[in-house]
Amino acid sequence: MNEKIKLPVGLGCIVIVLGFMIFSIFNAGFAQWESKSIAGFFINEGWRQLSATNTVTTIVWEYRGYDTLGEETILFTAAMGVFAIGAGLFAAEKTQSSREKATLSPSVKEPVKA
Amino acid sequence: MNEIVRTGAKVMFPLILLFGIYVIVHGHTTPGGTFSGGSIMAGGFVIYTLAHGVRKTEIDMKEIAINVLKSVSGFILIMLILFELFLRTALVPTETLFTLWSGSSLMFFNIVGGVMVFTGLLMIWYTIARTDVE
Repeated sequence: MNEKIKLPVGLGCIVIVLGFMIFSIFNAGFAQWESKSIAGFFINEGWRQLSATNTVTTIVWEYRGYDTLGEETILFTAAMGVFAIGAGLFAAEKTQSSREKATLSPSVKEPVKA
Repeated sequence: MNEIVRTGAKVMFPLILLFGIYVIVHGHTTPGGTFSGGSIMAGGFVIYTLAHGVRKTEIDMKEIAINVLKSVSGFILIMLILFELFLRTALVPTETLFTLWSGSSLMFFNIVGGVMVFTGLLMIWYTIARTDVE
């Protein structure tokens, strides 16, 4: 794309997206949420259906349970990713035979005898 | 670390673990639950590692135990999701509000999810603590 045209086009896209977001925020109708939403159902019926007094836990693990399963999957995947990165670092260090030099920092390596 | 940190960690470590277990188990009656309780328990192990070193922590809480615990809790989570309706219909009539024995399947969900969060954060912490930070 031409260099002269790049900046106006980008700014125009940003202005259009921001304008749409602000328009939708003002059109959302916060005043009618009480009659439209299902918050009243959660508050009035949630403890009766599940006999639990913490409504947040009721929503997170029951009415929105599959989303929480996805969160757990994300955490599992993140832990395995960090684990894989660490294992790769160790393998690289072993091949460079600098294992003794760069295993641990002295602050967390061993307790210093006082 | 020096003697003061080690003594403080020795005193605080069981209390932190106990508080984390309390937050997890009472997740359906009081504020808190899975993620906060698991984070508190993992923070207790972080303090233990900073006081005693990674080697002693790895001897006390082995990494293979963490992996097995995480896999088993994930399997139990899927089983709980599959049979949640039967559990709820069986448990709700026997329970009373505002006590520990309430919140039909939520308590089991909280315990299993808390173990998963705890082991996941602990895996991340072991990997970070073992690598070189210089």
